Amino acid sequence: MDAVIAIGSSNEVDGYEAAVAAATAAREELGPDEADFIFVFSTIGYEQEDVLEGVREILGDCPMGGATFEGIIGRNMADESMYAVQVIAIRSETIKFYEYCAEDIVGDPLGAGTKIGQAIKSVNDPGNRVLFLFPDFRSNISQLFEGIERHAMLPFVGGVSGDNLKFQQCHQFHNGTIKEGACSAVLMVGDFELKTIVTHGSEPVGHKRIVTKSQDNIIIEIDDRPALEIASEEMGAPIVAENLATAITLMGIGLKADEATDALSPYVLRAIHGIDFETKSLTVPADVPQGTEIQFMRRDHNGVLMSATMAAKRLKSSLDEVPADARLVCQFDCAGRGKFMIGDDVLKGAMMVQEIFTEPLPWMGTFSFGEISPVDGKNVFHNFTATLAVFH
Amino acid sequence: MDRSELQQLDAEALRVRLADAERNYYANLHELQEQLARLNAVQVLSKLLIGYGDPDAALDKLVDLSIRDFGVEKAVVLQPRDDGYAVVAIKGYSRRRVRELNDCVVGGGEQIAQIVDGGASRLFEDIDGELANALDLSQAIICPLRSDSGEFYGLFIVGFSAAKAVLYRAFTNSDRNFFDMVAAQVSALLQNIRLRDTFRKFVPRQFLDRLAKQGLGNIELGEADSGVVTILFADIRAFTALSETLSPQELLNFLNTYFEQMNSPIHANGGFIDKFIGDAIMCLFIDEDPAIAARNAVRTSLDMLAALQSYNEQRKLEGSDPISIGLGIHTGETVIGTVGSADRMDSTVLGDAVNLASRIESLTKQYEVPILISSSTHALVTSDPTIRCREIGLVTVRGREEPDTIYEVLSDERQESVDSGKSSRNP
Repeated sequence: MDAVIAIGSSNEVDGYEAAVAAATAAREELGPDEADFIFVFSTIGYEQEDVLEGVREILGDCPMGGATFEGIIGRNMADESMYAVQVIAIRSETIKFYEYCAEDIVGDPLGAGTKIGQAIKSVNDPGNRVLFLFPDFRSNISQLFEGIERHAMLPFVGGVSGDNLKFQQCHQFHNGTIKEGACSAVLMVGDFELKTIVTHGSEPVGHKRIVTKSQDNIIIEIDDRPALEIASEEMGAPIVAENLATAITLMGIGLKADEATDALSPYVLRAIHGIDFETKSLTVPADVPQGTEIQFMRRDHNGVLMSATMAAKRLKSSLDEVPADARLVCQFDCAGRGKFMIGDDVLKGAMMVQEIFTEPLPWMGTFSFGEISPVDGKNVFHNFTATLAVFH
Repeated sequence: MDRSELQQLDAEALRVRLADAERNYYANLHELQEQLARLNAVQVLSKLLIGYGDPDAALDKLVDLSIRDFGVEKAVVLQPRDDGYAVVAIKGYSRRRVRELNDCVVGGGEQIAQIVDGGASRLFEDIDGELANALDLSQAIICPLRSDSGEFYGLFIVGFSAAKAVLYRAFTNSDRNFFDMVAAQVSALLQNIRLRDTFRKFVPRQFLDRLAKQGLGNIELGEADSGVVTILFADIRAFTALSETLSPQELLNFLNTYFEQMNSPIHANGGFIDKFIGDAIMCLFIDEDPAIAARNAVRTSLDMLAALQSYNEQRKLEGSDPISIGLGIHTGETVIGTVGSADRMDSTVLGDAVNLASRIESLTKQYEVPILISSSTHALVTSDPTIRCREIGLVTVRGREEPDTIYEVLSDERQESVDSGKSSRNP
């Protein structure tokens, strides 16, 4: 991978000042030439228009993608405050970027995915391809995937855009404009290789169960009983509005996969993104067909930290396959693995992974509401996971 | 109802009670965690504010912390103006909105007027009106910033916009109490800053910097610091005769106007007035490099003469006679300290150097020159080509046994006078 990758971050409270500080740090690393593409990740407290104005002022009007997240991860830093911004400026002679923004991803995720897939299909540049996706958390991600893959088969990486664990609002960035209910998608084409790794820190609880009634991504009944009742039983306490954030951070749903999607677990993890207390149903960010075998999964502080260690070990064992010329690491971690779960050990967890790399590689990343990473050649939408994409 | 049905009902009742207890536990735990986090933040705020001498910087820190650590979207401090309120510190708004708000005065309305007129902090669950519209608030807590004696400094406002309220927990009375506590702390700080600023009008800042290194509250009688200081004395010639022609009020007005004229050159050259002694001014120049302090003092003396010339022109227009002054400068070892009693303290500079500076000033009458400096001061300024001096001679000043060489500092005017042979009397 032949590219200059410059990354800056800031946690100033003022959006403009934070963006200027982050973009200036990136600008200094980038050198005199302009960037070909900019990623912008920010948290929800900012006036996002100020963030983009600050980035534009320093780095100019070059193409841009990104979104708001629960937090950002960089080299030697992890910040889940309401005020954090990361700016990644990339310049390369051998890599091209194409940015898309599919709107109304909440109402019509399949259609939005189809538009992105069709656009990608028309790109004829030679070389390897990867698609960065930063969709609104309210969308059905499996339908988004399906829409894209109908027209273009390529690996997806990225994180689901979100807020401060309130599950209320998020924004996506597209060339200086701020969207909501959209998906920022960035196609990278050219001379590079990609290595991805996925891990999680959850343990199954209770026994295996069957989804007996569902509609798309809403689980209405499990084992012929209201889904919320079963979730409360597995949680060990009634799930109510007051402990909702705690519950969805501690507990997820493992969906038995047709094929192994993760060497560590036969389950694909799904976070609970919403609970309807009237219908006692659970909403997850991807389809769950009736008849799916599930098992509730719980995490704890040690499990999350241990999984970070395991991820690091797995990464190390696979380093033989990764050439020494690795140039960029993208880390998309679940927001539920962050400070809400492990408190002040957030940075410790992030560093366990970073310390595997002896070289101080450019490191970009987010705490997101869902992680996107291929496993065994298949694009998989994950929850509660830590994903790494190493570009070389 | 049989036994098993009763047991089932008991179990159900127990389950409901447990569920309630669980719910309360989580609700209370969450609130306690939040309160603990806020109390920690207040502790941080207290420590931070202690170091803030500039009220604007302190208020900026307040709104910054409110956004970052107190979990609100917007924080503003307003200060009263004739026709409303002006923004003096603001966070949580777009740059465009900040620019707009900085350029305008916001009206308060009746609810705000109640808070201003001695009312307590208020929680507005659904605020509207001019202030709410201007500050884009749908929910707000408004706290007065007020001194113990009731002096009103302004309003501290935190809140949410309708657009982002979903990202934050709605305010409760507990929040109002919390922000009230924060406002009280900031009010105390503003009161201290005002008190200190007033205090500094009586005690020079440079003294405080030397004597109050641990804070104003920790100055003790007998505290002292020694060092080389350049002392400048300025005295009005024929002041006794002049004072006899003026009423007490006219005399006071004259002195205050004169002191005001002399104050600027002293401050502009880095000096400070230690005390006024009748019509005399005693001022000090302190620097780690004594040569810098000496040069500053000499430049001050020349600037004071220039200021006096302007003042005399003004007096002439008013039909008053011009006045003349004498200036004496000496550099030497002094002790800066506090003197007096435990309940009436003063700061001062002591030492033989002070007396010598005063004696040198009195020699200006004898030699009929405006500015005289000692040999020690001369030695420190002699390398500066912009300062011209001429040796007056070896003199023994009153109260000293050893003679010292004194020098006249020449202004442009004096230089011409000397060159044309109309110089003052030689010893």
